[in-house]
Amino acid sequence: MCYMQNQETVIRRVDDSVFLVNPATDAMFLLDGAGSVLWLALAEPLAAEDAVRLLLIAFPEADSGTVSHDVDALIRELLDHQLIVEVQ
Amino acid sequence: MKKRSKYLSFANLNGPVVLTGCADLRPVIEQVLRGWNVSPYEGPHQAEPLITIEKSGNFYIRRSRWLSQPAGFEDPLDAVCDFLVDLSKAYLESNANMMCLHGAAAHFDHGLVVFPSTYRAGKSILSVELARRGIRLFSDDVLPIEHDRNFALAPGILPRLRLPLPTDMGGGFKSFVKSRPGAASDRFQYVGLHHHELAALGEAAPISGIVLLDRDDAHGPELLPARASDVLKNIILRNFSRTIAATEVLDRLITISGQADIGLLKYATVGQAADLLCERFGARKSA
Repeated sequence: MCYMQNQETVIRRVDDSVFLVNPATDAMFLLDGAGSVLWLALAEPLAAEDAVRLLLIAFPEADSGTVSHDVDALIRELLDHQLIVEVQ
Repeated sequence: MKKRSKYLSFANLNGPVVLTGCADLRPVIEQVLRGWNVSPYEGPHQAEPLITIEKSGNFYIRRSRWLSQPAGFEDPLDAVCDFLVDLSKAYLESNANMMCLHGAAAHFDHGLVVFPSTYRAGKSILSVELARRGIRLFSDDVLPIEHDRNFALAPGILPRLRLPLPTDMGGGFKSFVKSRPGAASDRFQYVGLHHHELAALGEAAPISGIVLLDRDDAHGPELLPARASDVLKNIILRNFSRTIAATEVLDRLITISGQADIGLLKYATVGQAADLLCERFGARKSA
């Protein structure tokens, strides 16, 4: 399963932070650090395993188990809030 | 015996405030507001009351659409302090597309500088200290933002200090507060700033600076550059503009922070903070 940004999501980049708004629910979200890196990668369809690999390249000192756990949690949250969508 | 109701009409609100059996609150409310144009009258109002306060036993019970359940206070000043929260919300709702930030603001020589609210920063003490140095205070707590120009608007409310005053404030500060008496309780004291020291409701100014306050007893005073994203995170967290779409709030706050001189002020004492701010943004001479 791959994921990518929902085209409806409003995106504003300021410095290296990403502010997101779901216009349907009016909920606002902020992604920093690894979260903003992951968001940028989600401009194209991306599998969770590839997201983990990407972040371990960007943050080589990070623990792979922690990164894997955090990626799963973030993808779940972004999906819950319809900021990303599942793609085949 | 039937309690008497006193209606208060506010020029800037869409409905009245009703005081039932507690006319004693009216002079306190009028004393802490500046430029609100309050007119008392006896009869009912065409519009639905926005806020009601009724004396019941020893308690002042407030009801409004912004409260999920009635709020009760024994002390009249506590009742007025909390009433001002609803009054600010009523003002926002009566003025379409107005945003509101939680923070203090003062008008230096170089323009209006906003201090977003942060824990333990002492923004009310800092506000009064700046007023003592001749800098015109806009607000010590909430700051409405008008729709078309994104200018800040003075809320027209006296600054409120928590008692007792901090022991590290000097005699000059204490004398200043004493010379400007305002409504007080065991916990709080409003500072009755003179008219030239506090902007009245609706006075507008562009936001020239945004300074995040970081009180740190172990850190020497320093005004550092801040990142726009850090300022944005801070003010987004502290905006309460429930009637405006999140995207519009975000875009307006990006515009405001992008046009402002932004900084992070680290300080141990309010005096240090005021010194640095006056140096950076210019100290206005007392009128």
